[in-house]
Amino acid sequence: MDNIKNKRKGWFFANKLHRQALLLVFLAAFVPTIVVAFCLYYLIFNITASEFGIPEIIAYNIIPAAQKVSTILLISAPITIFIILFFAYKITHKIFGPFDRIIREIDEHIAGKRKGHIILRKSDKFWPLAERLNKLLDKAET
Amino acid sequence: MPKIRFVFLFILALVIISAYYCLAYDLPRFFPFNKENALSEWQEKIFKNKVLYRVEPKREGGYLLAKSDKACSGIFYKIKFNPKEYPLVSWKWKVITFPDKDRAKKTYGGWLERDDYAARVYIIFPAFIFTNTRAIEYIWDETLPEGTILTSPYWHNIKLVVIESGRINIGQWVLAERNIYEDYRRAFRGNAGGVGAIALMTDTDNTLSTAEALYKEINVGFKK
Repeated sequence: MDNIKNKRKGWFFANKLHRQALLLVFLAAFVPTIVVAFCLYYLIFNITASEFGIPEIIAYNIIPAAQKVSTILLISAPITIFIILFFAYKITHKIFGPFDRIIREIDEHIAGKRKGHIILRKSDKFWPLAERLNKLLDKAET
Repeated sequence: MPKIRFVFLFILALVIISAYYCLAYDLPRFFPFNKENALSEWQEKIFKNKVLYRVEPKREGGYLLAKSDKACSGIFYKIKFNPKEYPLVSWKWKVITFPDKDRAKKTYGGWLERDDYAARVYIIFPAFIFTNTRAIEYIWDETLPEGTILTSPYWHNIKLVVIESGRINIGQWVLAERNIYEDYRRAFRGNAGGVGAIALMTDTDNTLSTAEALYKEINVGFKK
């Protein structure tokens, strides 16, 4: 029974918690970007444009600056969000991925369908919990 | 609870109504330039160097003198109205000196190098996103034929409408009256949004020459 491997499911999201956590990270990265972009465009460029007043002055001074800023934003924002999401995915997978497996294995232990240790990777964030649960299981068996 | 809701709605309605009346402008707005402080409500907008704008209240019933020496700056007045409802704008202008565009021709200068006019009257249509701001500029040019509609070399959202051409009327007051709603439709092939400002400009920054023009009796936002 100790040889039973507790493999990850091959899905993108390990479970509902993982999906929710990633959504939270995505929103935390995406919403400020939108707010900053809006603030840049509206609060800075729009107000400056209305202060300049004369359309030629707007065209000569603000539009080139706005084009540069939007180019930088269009390139940097998706890259930044992608990097944030990539690391968020890796970390949240390690946090929430084993969660279902621990519950499932404990349920199997309670139902008497399984014996032995809960198997987790050492890199999984719940590994210290699994280690203690395994010690508890060992104590209960003796 | 219903009482609180009613009070809240009442206060909200009051705020909206008072904001509407605070932002409403008396139309038509008339600028005779017959007082010393006639430019106090206007803002100066400088592009390249300062053009001299001076009110002459006692001469010829009052006018605004604009004298440009290799400069480009305008005077700007914020006024909000619906051009569909109040489509007419009129003014009187007189050109004393045209910018010298021969220099640009001799040096094979492009359109931008010739983008100077003795007299311009702007009608500005602002938008929520500034890149959608549009403007019509009524110009008096020495050479371009009357009725020409050009796109500004600076921005495709600026259309120049030649409404007075040549030197025939130089030194004389000429009355101009325009239906800005119709002109906007002709220039942009669409319906005009709200007007946000008007401006006047005499500029010679591109031709590096001098120009002089006078403006008076500007009447904005009326209908017949």
